[in-house]
Amino acid sequence: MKRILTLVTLLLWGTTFLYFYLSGRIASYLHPQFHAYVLIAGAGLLVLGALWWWASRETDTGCRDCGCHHEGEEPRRRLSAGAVFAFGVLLLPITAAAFISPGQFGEAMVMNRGMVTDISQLPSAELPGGSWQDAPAWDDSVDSSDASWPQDQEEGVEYFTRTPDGAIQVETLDLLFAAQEPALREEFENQRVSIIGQYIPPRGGAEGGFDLVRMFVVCCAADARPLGIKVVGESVEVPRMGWVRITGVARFENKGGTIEPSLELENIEEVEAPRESFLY
Amino acid sequence: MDHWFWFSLPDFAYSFLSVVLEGVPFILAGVVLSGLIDAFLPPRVLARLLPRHPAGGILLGGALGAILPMCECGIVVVIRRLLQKGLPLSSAMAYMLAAPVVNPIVAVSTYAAFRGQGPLEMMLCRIALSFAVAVVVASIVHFLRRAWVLRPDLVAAPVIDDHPDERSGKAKSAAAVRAATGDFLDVTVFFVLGAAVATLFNTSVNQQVIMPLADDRALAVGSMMALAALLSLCSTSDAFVAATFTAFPSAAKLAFMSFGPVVDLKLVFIYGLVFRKRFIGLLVAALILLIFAACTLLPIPNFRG
Repeated sequence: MKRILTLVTLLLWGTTFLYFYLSGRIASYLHPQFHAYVLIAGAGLLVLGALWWWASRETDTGCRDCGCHHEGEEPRRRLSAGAVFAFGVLLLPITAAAFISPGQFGEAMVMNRGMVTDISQLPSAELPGGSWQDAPAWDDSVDSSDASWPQDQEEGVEYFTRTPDGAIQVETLDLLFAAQEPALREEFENQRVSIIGQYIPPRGGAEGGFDLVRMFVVCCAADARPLGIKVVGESVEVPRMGWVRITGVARFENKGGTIEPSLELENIEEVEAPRESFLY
Repeated sequence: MDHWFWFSLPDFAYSFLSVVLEGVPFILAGVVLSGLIDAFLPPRVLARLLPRHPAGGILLGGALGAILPMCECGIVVVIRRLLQKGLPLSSAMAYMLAAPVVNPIVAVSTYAAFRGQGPLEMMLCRIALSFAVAVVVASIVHFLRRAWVLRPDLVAAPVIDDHPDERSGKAKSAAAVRAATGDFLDVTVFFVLGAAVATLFNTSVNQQVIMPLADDRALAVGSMMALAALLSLCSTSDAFVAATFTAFPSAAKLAFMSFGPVVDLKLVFIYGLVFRKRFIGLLVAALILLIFAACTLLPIPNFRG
């Protein structure tokens, strides 16, 4: 019985890891640098399962001459109450979590973790004039690590990506960064921008806007930090934490010495969750 | 702050699964190594490699992570095997406490995380503090009896003689697979339990509750150590989280990064694989005392630039 449960455990874990990798669900859980480890672990667990089946049938005969016993090698065959508990812990939580897990956080986590509205609170933020390598809204050919960027860009060169109606496509990270970087702030201030994120209504039913949130991740979802942008406008009917695309005018306001970005709402539409729901 | 606890089952499941997906590959690496050690490393080889003087063994154990890096999830099964193979308890303790930090991967991640906050100073302070704490604790453990420290099944010292292991390569390979599988099941049970408890805190407790503590150095250090234990982050990534607590002094962030890799909710469960409960209690108390004292009493400036 124990042999079978051991095999089932290894196969279940291996299959689960491979499923998350091959289905692409892994993108909602881990930073890309860890994805390959999940593939290797999944394959490794399946191989270990097959090897275990073979090894558990091999009899340890001891050394040929003396028949001595090597500690820790005896396959355990009896199923005690402790073993039943252990297999329960190994089999049930991961199965249940794989089914229950929605692949994104809800409002409770955002409120418990606290919304980041100042980019200096993010890991490895270096401001101003330092390197900032993750500027997804810009053309990859633009070297954003250059401290003088974007002031020295050739005039007339379009380095923003725009929507068909002319709004600049940005991420929450870009606006938070721009809030601390004067040259970049000038580029966005009073411009129409298009941005996607998750909708969080005002707490306590307050009127006059809502928050747009996107998760920033270093390693895995467990360390996610919600990046929040205040959206000013009329109340809208959107599911809590639903994905939306917002078009609005970017504003920057000095609040007690900290410049915070906000958006003046022009249009909001519900959209599918992006495949890469995190920002890195 | 309008609440301090808000539980959501989907959030819990999501965060728990991400911790499992991130941590298990490293556990698997650890158990494969432990299986190979079990089957292919004769005790006499280990005995010959180690310095004869206990102090040399402790210092070597503390530095071993530099060439044999392991994260805190995988290292416990490795030292369990090494203890069975005759590695002295004090050397094993030094390796177990130091290796999750004193290794090149963590050094690089710490440097990267603290860009703009004295990266070189933070990296060196972290490595030095973790090494020093590991050596001090291991030196204390050297004077304790194995029976007081280790679980009964690990107490018996291996018989180290020149009797060669004459099993065939096939038999040794089968033994390695059995050992690795047994270790994987053992450590993963504890890992799952610990990850669940840590995730409960990580997703359900309002983390603003600790922010008022940042102004007082002792409170800041203590609260960051508590947070490190509760969050149970991997040592390769915890620096990125520590660096975000910009309101806290560097000493508190150092405490977070030195304490978390040796004491956290999942590790306390995993330590149960090797140590007696009373020793785990003593170990945790000693680590709290040492790291807290170092980070509150030593003149650690707030690093910038």
